[in-house]
Amino acid sequence: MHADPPLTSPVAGLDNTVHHRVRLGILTVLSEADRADFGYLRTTLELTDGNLSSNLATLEQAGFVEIEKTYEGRRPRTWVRATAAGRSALAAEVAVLEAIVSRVNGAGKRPAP
Amino acid sequence: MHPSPTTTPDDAATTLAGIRATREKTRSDLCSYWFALVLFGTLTLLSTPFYSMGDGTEVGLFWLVAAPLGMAVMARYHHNRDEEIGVRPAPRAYVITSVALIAACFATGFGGGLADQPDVSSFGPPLAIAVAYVVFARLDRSALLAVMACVLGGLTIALAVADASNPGPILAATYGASFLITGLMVRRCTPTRR
Repeated sequence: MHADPPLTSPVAGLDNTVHHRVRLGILTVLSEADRADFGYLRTTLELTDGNLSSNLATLEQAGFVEIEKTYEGRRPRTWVRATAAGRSALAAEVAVLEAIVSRVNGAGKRPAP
Repeated sequence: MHPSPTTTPDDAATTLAGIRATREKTRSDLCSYWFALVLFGTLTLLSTPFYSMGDGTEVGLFWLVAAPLGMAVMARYHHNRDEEIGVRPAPRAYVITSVALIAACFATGFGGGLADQPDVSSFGPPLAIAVAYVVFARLDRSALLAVMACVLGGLTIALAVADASNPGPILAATYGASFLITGLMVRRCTPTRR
């Protein structure tokens, strides 16, 4: 008899900090760009100021993003860029998610014994 | 402390789809290469009459002024646009490719003339431009740009193999018109102002 491998094992590779819908979105935007400002992230990810701020703080604390506060005239502007660790964490997260999906697809395609 | 993350295969598929959609949206917002195509397409069309003059010095002088000027205008445009939209692409690969392109154009254009190699000075710069645009197409993930670059490169090679006499005006007009038309075609991918 052919036993299916457990489907839960790749989940162990998921990162607590990255595996959050908003933080995944932030890192995804930043992985495509050199930097993005607070307003762009808020609009693109459809977030409130408070939600975005708290998740950026979490990512900054983990060393996944760098936050730079500048002024344009008197108007403050916050720029965010992903660190190398942030880009690696996103790539690892995507790889784990793809592994989970492909395991199910592979199990579904396996011929009956 | 965070709880351990858990996900079902359906959750994983949904999350991956969300990541793909966010990537597409960001790439679309970053898409601005139409401006370079329109700018350099116009400059190339303006340069066409110079290819029919004298020994090539005139067209060399035209590009000696137009190329740095065009680069400066483009840098200014991208700076303003990035500040306005709030997202900036990683510029290093674009800058390296642009500098290599200018160096290759002047090396083959002027170098071929000095070494009395008219084929090198005639076909070197357009071939360098076609190759550079293949790189730009890869950077911008643009199939349209890749096709345009390959067609222009193929045309350049075909004219070189056919040993066409005075190919400068034909190549300048074709490259200029192709850049301009392609640039206007992709103009619509630029996001609206916030």
